[in-house]
Amino acid sequence: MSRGIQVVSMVVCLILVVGSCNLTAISHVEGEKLYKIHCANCHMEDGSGLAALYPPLQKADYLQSLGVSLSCIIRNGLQEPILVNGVKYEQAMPANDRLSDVEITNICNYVLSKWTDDESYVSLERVKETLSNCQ
Amino acid sequence: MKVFYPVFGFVLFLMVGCFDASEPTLPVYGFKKVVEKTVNGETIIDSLDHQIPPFSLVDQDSTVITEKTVNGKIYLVDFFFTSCFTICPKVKKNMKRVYQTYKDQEDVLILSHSIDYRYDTVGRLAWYADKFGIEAEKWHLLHGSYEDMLRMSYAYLLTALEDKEAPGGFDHSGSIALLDRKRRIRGFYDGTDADKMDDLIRDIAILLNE
Repeated sequence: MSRGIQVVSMVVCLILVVGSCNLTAISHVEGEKLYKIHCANCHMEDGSGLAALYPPLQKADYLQSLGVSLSCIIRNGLQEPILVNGVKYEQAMPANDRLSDVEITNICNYVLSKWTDDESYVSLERVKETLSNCQ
Repeated sequence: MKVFYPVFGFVLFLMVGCFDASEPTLPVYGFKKVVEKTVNGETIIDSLDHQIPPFSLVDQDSTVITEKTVNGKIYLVDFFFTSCFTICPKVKKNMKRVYQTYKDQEDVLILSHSIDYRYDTVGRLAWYADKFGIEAEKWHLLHGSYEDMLRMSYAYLLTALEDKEAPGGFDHSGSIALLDRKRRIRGFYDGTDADKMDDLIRDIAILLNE
């Protein structure tokens, strides 16, 4: 019986250690929370979007090509139609001018790590610099 | 050994009860109306179920949709607007699963009422239906005056109104109402909750068998 408890507690410890080692995941947790509040209504929690009305983020060539400039779209929205995986999306995206640079950085890291091949971490400095040069 | 036969028989009898579950039924929502009527020269008091009154609205194909369109049909009702960035896309995504389940069932229709009477013209609704990938004969996106929409929202017991403080300028419920063949409300389902759509799909089947 006590041997069973030992094994269970060892496994729990191992999970905690492995979990806390993954530092980038902490930022993504914050980004995930913000994504669910500000983006998931239209793009859906699983990033699937909605038909030809709201573009998907998962397996989306448009997002893949964006990189850090995603931060500009999050802040300013989109007025022009865009082409995602060959489908034309015409619905305008509203601006999110109440989100801080830090919050946008967190959303970028969550979205880019979850739905693009780019595993690299986007720093706050890079986002600040990109946001000051938005077209 | 023989003593087991009556026991076995009794167990079998109990099990029959399991298979004889009575047909599940759905409640009728809304206030009943009390009416007096004369039967065989005697005045009696009767009560009528809440029934959606006659209406006339226009859909994305410019087709006039009235109570006759839904006559004898089971139908779903919700309120939305096409430029909504809050709950609408999620509700529409969930409703599409129900639509796909009953697409080939002639007796099931969907009526989505736009509360944005200024921006959501027939042309805009046609654009939305095309982008959304739905068929007009099955899923009607409805346009009407603000007064018409308010009247319908009261009839269906669903909130929908103009509100300058709300995101996008309109406040509306994310619920879907289920109507039976006699235009009586038989259920409400939270359209933002994907799991509730399973209940809705099941309950439509119950009404189809009524």
